[in-house]
This record gives sequence, structure tokens and C-alpha cells, in this order.
Amino acid sequence: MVPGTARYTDVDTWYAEAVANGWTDGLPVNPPTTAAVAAGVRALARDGAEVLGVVPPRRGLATVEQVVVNSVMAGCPPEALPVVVAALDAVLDPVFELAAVQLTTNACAPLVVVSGPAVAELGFNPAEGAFAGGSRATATVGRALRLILRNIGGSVPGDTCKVTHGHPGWFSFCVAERADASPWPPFHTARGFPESASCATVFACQAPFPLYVPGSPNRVLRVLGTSMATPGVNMFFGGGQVLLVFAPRVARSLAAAGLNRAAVAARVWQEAHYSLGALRAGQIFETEGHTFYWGARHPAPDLTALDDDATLPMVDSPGDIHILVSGGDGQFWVGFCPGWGEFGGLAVTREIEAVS
Amino acid sequence: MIEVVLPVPRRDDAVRPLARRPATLRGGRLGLLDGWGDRRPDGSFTMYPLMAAVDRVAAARWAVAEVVWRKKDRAGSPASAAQLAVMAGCTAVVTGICLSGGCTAGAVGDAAELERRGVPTVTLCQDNFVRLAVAYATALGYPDLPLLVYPAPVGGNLAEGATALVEDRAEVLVSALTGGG
Repeated sequence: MVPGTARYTDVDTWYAEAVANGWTDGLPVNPPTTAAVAAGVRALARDGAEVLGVVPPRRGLATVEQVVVNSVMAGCPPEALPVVVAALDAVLDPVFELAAVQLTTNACAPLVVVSGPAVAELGFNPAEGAFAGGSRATATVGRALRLILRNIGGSVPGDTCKVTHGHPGWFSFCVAERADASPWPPFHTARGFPESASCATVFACQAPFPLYVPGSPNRVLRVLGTSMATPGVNMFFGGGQVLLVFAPRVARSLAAAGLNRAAVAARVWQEAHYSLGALRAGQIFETEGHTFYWGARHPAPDLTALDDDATLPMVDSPGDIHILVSGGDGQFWVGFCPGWGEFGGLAVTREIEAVS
Repeated sequence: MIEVVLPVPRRDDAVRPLARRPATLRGGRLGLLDGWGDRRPDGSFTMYPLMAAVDRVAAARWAVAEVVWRKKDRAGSPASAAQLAVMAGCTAVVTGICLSGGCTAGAVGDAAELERRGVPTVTLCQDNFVRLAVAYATALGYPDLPLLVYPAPVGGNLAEGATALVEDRAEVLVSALTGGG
């Protein structure tokens, strides 16, 4: 297939063609009609031929038009296109190492975290089912980015992508901050952006593993840390970053104990340590580098100089633990989203540009 | 009828020529650009076993004057500017190891950049990542980027039998880096 336009008799025929050509993740995709694409380009108030970037691994040109094409396929409404553009710009930041993220065997997928006034203005769902869609904006912004990475970038599992399992976020992976129920300043302020901004933060990570944390603030933080620091999680050999998504009532409980976001991250970092003695007793270390604590990191600590009482941090610093408030108020849950490690997919934030 | 704009992007399909190969590696400088290294318990790194095997074979069979080894900080990332500058001063370079997805991107990207700078390369690639490596190399303009393919180990030790593997493929390796001499 070459770039251009084509005609189909009906939606079903279009869908069959999309499946045959690998333009979809398997789910139905809206036909990117010339009218809908033109409307999307107008909504962005940009030239459709403008190149926003080159998307690896197959290095397709992400023109405004092609971004809109994939967004229309995802069902993304025109008013949410600036979020897609911001997310794309973020994953194309060299810090994110998108080429490596697109090719890795790790299950990580770029999560789009939306924060600021845009959450309410565009109808994202930050409450119950925050990761489960529940709104057109949440479902389709996440899916638009996935289709862009697939169709423009050419990352197709089994072909150019060696992801072993993936996770459901490979269909759509987007979550919004629940600022009105959070005791802390907006997520993007911890990323260096003004409180009044609307932002998209991308972070390549796993689907949230729910950690159940009732009890005192001390217990919450101990359970979080000890539940996170296991040798099977990629941070064990690769360091990197993690995201914790706090249900509002857990966040409020910690805040009531005088803990702000930074203090929570610091305490969780303290708790998220490996016991060197337990690792040795459990015969976790073998001869090959991948079996070592931070085995892929450079520099790495001299374990021969440490006795069994030593503890080893899961990640470099509290700054590598991102904390978001989102989700329902029903119970005491925290979603644990480990990243890929320091190999790539590190968090990058962009302000969502308002269309003038 | 429904008229759609196809989700088919434009790409740069230009094919770039590989770097000119020297007649021989004898007396030359061989660069080893190592994405992984082999971590020792004291936190230091030595060559990844496959790279170490190339080092031994190079010394025993190719009479290179010098081997320069550099370990990247992150396997999936491009080599640093300083590391690329060192490698660009070599007669030929072996990059790798493509034993997973991200590091394939890193190693192939480095090889493509060095070929662009006129340095012959060959990339060590596990057989289950060849398709990935070729796709990315093609996207970078080098569909014929030389790969030294070896079978993926069944067990958990990714470097088992490294020397034997490299020795078995030594002629393929040197042919990729030279004019066949």
C-alpha cells in the first residue's frame, strides 16, 4: 500500500481491509474519511503536511494528517487531538528512547497521563474505572497513540515488535488525574509545570497491579514498598522508574498524617529495598549479568563488599517514584505500574497546547 | 461509498551504501561496541561473553594490532558521542548484543551510524531477533547491514557457549568486515 486515499463500499469492507493490512489492533477502527480527517486537521489549526516527527522503528513521517487519520480511526474527538499531539511529542523526546520501547520484549506500553483543566474540559474519566475507559476521551486518546505507534511507527507484535505478552494497555492506555479529590497539587507540578497548565505525561509501564493497603499510614507505606521490591520486577536488574496510582482515600489518609507527595515518595523509596541476605539465601544471583541486582546498570554497587544485613534500593531515588491520584473511592487501592527500567520509556511531560 | 485517507505514512526509503571494507584486519584496530557487558559481583563490567569471544578470536586469527572495547551505559540507547568517536577511528567494529528487543534497536542504530561514518560493522544478533534487526536496519537505510546470527540459548544463560559460537562463525564475521581477505 502506498500513501493516498481509497474508496470502500461500506464500513464492514473498510474494517476487513484494515485487518488484512494490519492497520488495527484487531478491534474495529472508524474509517478515516476525507471529511473527518479534514475536520480534525482544521481543529488542530495546523497544516496537514506538517511533520511532527519521525516514528520508529520503521520511521514513518508523523504528519499532522496521519496523526489525525489514526486518531479518527481510534474514535478520538477533534477537541481531544491536542492531547494526542502532546503525547506524541513526548514519546518522541530522546529521553523516552521510543525505538527501544517499540522493540522491547518487555510488556511496557506508553501510558498517557492527563492532568489539569483538560481532564474535565474534554471529559476524561478520573474516577471509578480510571484505567478502564469509561469515557470517550480516555479510551480514544490512549488508542490513538497506540495506532500511531503501530501504523506510523510500524511497531507490530510478531513482526517488528518482540513483546512477549504485552498487556491490555496495548489497545489503549490512558489515565486522568482526579485533582478534585486529591490532597496534593496537580501531578504535572511535580514535573515542573505550572498548576494552571493542562499536561500529558507519557511513561512506558505495565498495567496497574492493584495493591490493597488498608491500615495506618505507616502500614500503607510499608506494604507498598515491600510489595514492589521483588526480584521479578524489572527494576531489580534495570533500575528506572515506577508509577503509583493512589485511590483518593489512600492519598487523603497519608496527607492527613502530614505527608505530601514528596514525603510519600521518600518513604516508599525507603521501604522499597531488597534484602541482600534474602537474595543470597534465595540463590537469586547466578553467573550471568541479568541475574544480578542492577545487573544492567552502570555503575552498579560492589555486592562483595556488603554483608547480608545490607539493603539495596529498588530505584535510584524518590524522584523515580511518580505519584498520581486517580480512581474510585470505594476502597484502599494503589495501582503499581513498574516501568521498563532505565532502558527507556522514562516519564516525559508536555503541556497540551490550546488551539487558537 | 466511503472515501478514506489511508493510514499509510510516507517514509524515507533511501538505501544507503555500506562503508567500504578493507582488504584485511591485519594490523588494524578492531572496535567492540558492547551494549551489555558482563557484570561482576563487585559491580564492575567486563566484556559480554560473546564480545570476549570475538576478542579472543580476533587475537588468535586476525592479527589485529589493537582491540578497543567500550560498554554503553544503556543497551537500548545510542552509543554516546564520545564512544562513537572512538569507534569511528577503528578499522572495523563489532556491535551488539541483539539478545532482546531494546538492545537490538541500540546495536543496529549504532551500526548504521558507524556505516554512515565509513566504518565497516557487523552486529551480533540472536536468531530470534533477526527480523527485528533487519526491519530497523532497513528503516535506517541499510537493508543489508551485516549481522552475525547465532542461535538463542534454550536456558536462562544468554551467553552459554559463546566462544564456540563465535569460533564457528569466525569466517562469516571476518568476511562481513573485510573484502573477504
